[in-house]
Amino acid sequence: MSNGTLIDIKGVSKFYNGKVCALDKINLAIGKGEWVSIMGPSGSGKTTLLNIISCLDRPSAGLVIVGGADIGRLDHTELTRFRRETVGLIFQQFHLVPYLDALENVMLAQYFHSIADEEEARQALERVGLGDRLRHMPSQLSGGEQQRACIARALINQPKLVLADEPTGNLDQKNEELVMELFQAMHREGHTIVIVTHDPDVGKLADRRVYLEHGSIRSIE
Amino acid sequence: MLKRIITKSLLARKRHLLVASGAVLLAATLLASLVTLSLGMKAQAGRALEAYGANMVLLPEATSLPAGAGGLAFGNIVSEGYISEEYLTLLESGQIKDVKAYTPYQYTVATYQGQKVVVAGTLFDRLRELAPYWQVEGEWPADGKGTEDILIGSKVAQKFGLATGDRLRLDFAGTTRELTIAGVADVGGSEDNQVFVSLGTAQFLSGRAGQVDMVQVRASTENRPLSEIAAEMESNLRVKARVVSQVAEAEETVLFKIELLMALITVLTVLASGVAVFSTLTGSVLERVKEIGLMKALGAKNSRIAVIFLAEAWAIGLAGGLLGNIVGLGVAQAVAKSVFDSYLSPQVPVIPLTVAAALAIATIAALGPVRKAISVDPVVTLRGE
Repeated sequence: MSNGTLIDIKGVSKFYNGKVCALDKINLAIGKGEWVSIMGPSGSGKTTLLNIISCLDRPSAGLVIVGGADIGRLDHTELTRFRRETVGLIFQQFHLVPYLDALENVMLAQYFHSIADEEEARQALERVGLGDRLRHMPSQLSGGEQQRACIARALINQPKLVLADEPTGNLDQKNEELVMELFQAMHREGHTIVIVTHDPDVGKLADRRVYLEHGSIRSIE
Repeated sequence: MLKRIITKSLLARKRHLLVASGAVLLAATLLASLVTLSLGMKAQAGRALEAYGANMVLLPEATSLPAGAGGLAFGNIVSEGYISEEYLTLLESGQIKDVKAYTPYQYTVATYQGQKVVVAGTLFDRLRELAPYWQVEGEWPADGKGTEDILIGSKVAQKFGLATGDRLRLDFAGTTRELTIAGVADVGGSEDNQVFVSLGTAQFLSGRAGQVDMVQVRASTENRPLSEIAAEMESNLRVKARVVSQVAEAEETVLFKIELLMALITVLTVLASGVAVFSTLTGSVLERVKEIGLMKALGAKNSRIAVIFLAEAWAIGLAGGLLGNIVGLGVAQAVAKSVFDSYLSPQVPVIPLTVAAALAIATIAALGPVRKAISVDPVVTLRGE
């Protein structure tokens, strides 16, 4: 599915408090439309790498180029804009705003991106099978439904890059399958996907699996 | 969308909303009531203090008079001077502002049953207006040159065994005049030893038409201090204007202290409510760190996050300010009723002033929490805590 490079990571290291090494000289290129799973044990640096790719965090050393932009050179405002326009984020804990209903949670991403469009948000929720749950509050949705609302929110602004951190970590088997079907659909539509996961079943759906250990790439399959 | 976020966020945290709005409500209530009282009470307090009579005395350059007002005696001053009655038209015409009431006096000495008594000629209608605290048994005499009705002091009545309705033969340097006692005045001062006749009668009997020896004045201190009014009197009326210091100082001190106390209470309340709003909003930010982090992760600009929290603060300020106006007006009216036994007219500027103050309190109190919200690191949202 690769069609040119979207993410180019060269010699990226990340240190916390100047000492603790979370990532150690990582080199990784991810093509446009590619689906990559980042796997490895806890503390191996998976989430740190995802944070850097999503522009939520900066590397201590090395170069990260996403969509041609050297994100290490972007200031705070530019990073925020880059994240808004380029990245769709899916979280293990869903992170839906508790006092907004499903529809409004999707519209929230539109509002921060540009203008909230209720009809478009409704269609996004229908696409993930939540057409009958538009006005449900997060507390009224099951875990799988919350994750699907989170996916609708991540996709509403048509991001080039979809990043997911343990998206099935809190789901049962049935909901995990439903969510992964959505990821497969995203993949077919040409989205570039990077998933952090412990789950080998989720990992095997990706084009490539990058195994991290102690902040370094152990292997790529 | 912003409206939905703010409305739903406030509704989801009703307790916070109530606490913060309650704090602003308290400050706005006090502010509204104190400003209403301050604006209305100066006039009310001034009116209440008017009951104490004159607060200024006009004299010729020097004179020998048993001058006094109420229980306040100024002693005797010796001079041959007088004040021309013509100048009093300046007080009448409003050319000298802030004069609320005045009455002139011309003094002479008469003999009754071989004993000398001080006879004061005055304008009874004006005296009545100037000194409402005089207790008169019987009737106030009418003004006019030919009137035979007089007022005598309580000590004169006691000394000579006189009462209302009695006739009194006074000898004015060879001219005898029989007068009728219309009333007996109990003032509690030097006036109790005097006999009061109409100014015209006194001037006729003394042969000093158009002259007065003293003018008692009641001037308003709402707009300027008495010393300033006295200086204007001296330059325009060719008189010596003396402030009745006890009354004037009491009046100015009371009003100043009331205003100072009000200002102090208002400042303390505003500070306390600001602290309450600050801590409530800070608590709100701390509770919503993940939500703020999520917003930032979704690409929210700092300005949008600031607007969300500021708008919440403004909603709190607006609710507290508007309700505070209503409650404050009620409190002010209750205070006015209990202290002055009358209601204050609503002061229109109080409404925008109170709402603006409430919004200012909320905004200033929100600055710290907003800064905290903006500084939230979005990475926290990706932590599975």
